[in-house]
Amino acid sequence: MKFHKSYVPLSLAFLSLTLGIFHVWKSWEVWKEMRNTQDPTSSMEERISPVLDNLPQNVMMVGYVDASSVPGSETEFDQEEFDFLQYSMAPILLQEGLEHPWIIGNFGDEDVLFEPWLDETLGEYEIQHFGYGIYLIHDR
Amino acid sequence: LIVLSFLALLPRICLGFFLAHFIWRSAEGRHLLVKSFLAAPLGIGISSLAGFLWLWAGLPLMAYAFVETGIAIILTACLGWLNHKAILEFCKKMDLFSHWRNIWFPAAMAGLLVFAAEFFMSAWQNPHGRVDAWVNWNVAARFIYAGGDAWTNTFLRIHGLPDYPLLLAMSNSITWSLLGRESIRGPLVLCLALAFSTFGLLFSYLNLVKGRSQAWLGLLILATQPIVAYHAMNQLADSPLAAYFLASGGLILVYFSCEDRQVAILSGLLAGLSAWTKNEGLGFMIVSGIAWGLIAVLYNKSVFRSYMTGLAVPLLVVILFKTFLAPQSGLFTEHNPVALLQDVERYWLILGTGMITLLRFGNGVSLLAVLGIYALLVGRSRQPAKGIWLVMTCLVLQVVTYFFIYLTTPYDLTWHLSRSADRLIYHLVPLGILCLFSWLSTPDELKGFEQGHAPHH
Repeated sequence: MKFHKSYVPLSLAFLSLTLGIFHVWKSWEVWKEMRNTQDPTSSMEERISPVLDNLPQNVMMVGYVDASSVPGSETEFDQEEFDFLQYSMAPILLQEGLEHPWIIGNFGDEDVLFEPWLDETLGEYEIQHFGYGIYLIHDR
Repeated sequence: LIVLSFLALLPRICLGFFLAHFIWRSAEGRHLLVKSFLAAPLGIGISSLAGFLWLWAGLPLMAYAFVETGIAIILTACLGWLNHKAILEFCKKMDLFSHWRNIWFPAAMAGLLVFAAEFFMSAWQNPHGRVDAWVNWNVAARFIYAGGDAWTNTFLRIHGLPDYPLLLAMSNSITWSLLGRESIRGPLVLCLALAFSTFGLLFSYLNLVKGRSQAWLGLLILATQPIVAYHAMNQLADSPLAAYFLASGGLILVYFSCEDRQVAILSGLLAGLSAWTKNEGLGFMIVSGIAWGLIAVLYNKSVFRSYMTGLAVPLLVVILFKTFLAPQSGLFTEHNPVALLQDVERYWLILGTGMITLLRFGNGVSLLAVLGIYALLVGRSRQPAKGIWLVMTCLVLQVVTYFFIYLTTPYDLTWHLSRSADRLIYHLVPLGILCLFSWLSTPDELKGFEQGHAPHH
């Protein structure tokens, strides 16, 4: 009986290593498929980089609006997109709404008529488009 | 940049070792090994506390990073020179090559390779970590590092958890200050260092109380769990928190092995640092305090005072942070916890989800089931480590704490459980493995060698 018992720890070690190696092999398969695709966070960092270049250096808070902010739009607020942007823009703080002189508009690919709403709400403003539905709005 | 990030972290690890050695003076080989692996959690934690106070006083973080690094380098050089004979002696005694004759050493090294492969593949796919890393932890680090006087804007963030403490964020900001840039490798290396400390602590505690073969086996079991690599590369606070729970809770076993009450100071310090890592650490601080209180009542009155001495500094900083800076936690928003406590269905939902999560925990096969069968087969050690029941008390009380957090959560319970149950269980896995393997027969015992309590050298 004692002889058998002494093999139990070895069996546990063998099982753990085998399962661990099997899991590494499965991760390797996933990694091979994914290695050429960029992770979403790095993509967002690239998308937002020209926006940051166009913001004055002393700006530490900006407004944020997306398609859901436009009256009549049925789109829901995309929190994940907001979080991506907040991370990519930090230490600049994003705050929902149009209260700040500098505002990020993130209208995506959706066909949202946001400009009449901005004309009505902001009055005189400048807007720059950076692709991917991202706009930098300067409320004068 | 991985190497540079590690080099930026190294002075803090050295400071951690000196602090551990300053508090607990033992020069015994196995104790030095424990202190070597306490160095990272201790040094990183204390550095982030001091860095936070420095920054809060309105001083530039860059200056702090360089002052701290300078002090660490000078201290390392001076103490290294003064103790060079003892260090050489210690290295000679370690005799790494002799370990290869013990089958458990290569097996554990293979386990660490499995961990490293899993970690780097996941990290390659998610260099910024997973969702919570950039919603909560690394975003706060960016505010602190690059925000200047406006760093406190991090507490105005409307999503995420801006009330969470700053151990990770401060540590990453200090690393970036030393590197001179916001490198995504910094947070990755921090999590990797703390993950390796977890392995090292599990090994060194088991080595102290149950001998080397049991220590290698425990390390192998932990390292081959894919969830360990997953949580480490996530760059969330859960992996560091598990390291602090293990570091603080394991010192109870160390205390019973050497009966040096200075160990209680270290345990208090590390429990306090767990509260500086994540809010769940606040619960552990109390739970661990109860365990040391029991030791005081049953064995030695003075240990509780030592525990509280260690706890005092991090606790004071956490209280200051929570009182003056952090916004109110989402868990304490206006709701009626009494009504939630009376809802019986919530109890069943928490118990059911907790059990299912626990049973699924493992590398394809339930870890609980495997270890349960293993325990039945090998049985209790003839000389289990002293004080296991107190570590077990910590584990049980922490589970009870988590249970009550879920019970009174203002969030949708199903959503809250699905988001966090596996992470909460993970916090307790390294300490649970330590507890179990301190109680079970060792491979050497099973082989019939008369090893007893002394480790195999």
